[in-house]
Amino acid sequence: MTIDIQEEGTSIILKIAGDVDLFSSKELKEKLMEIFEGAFVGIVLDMEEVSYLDSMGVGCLLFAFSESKKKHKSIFFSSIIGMPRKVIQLTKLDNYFPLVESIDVALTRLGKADE
Amino acid sequence: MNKGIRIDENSPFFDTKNLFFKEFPSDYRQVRFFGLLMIQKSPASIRDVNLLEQQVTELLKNAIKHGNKRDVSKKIKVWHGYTENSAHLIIEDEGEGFKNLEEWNEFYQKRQGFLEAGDFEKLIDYASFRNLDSDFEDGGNALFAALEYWNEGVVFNAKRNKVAVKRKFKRRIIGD
Repeated sequence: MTIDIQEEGTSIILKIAGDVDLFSSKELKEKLMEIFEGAFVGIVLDMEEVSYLDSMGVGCLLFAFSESKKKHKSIFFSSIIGMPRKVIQLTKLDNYFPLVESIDVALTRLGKADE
Repeated sequence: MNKGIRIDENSPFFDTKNLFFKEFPSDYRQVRFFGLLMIQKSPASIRDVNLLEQQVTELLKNAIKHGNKRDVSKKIKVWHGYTENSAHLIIEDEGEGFKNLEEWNEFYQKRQGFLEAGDFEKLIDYASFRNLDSDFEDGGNALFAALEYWNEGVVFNAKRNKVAVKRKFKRRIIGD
């Protein structure tokens, strides 16, 4: 797994690639904890390049979503496609998670939330 | 409606006839590799990219991590069989058994209720199952997905250290 970080005004984009699984999810969760301590008001987790997701990866998404509520930040998960999408559908959290089709859509929605 | 995880020592799900057998050490670092080995005999048509691999690996991970507590001297035993429209797996560990099973089922039923009602405010407390055995990395959602995926059922033996799962795949008619 790799995480490429980009800042966009008051928002931060994490482009995650590779396998988010039992071995890499710890690193992702630690990175998320660090980001939630920071000043960013908007967070985008882009998963277009994620090829494999397991229950621990889903756990990271749950953690991110519940932290965003607790810390009053806005979060979107963009481009969850293919196998990772099927894994999330199995947990039935696809209607619950803030899923959007692209980073652009996420940034537009974050911009609107900011106004 | 899905009734949750069953406990039934005499379930036909535990019949190992016509199933392949494998034994693995509880080496956590090799869980993904074991998962890959386990699906080698499955027809490509039921692999669904790597969803079958992922679901098999989750069960192996549970047995190694929560069952055998990553004690490499303890083994996990696996029986597995596949056809073009079914998958059947039995995994046994040497642990003390899934003690919180009733608690898990109760949690699951509540979660299902909030999901069906679309009550996402309450669902946040039921999104992941955690207990004293959970650690920093535990997702707490593997078995929710397992009950969806293994659509014929998830059954434990009386000692609760052996789980059997079955899935039926919809037939795909190609070129008709």
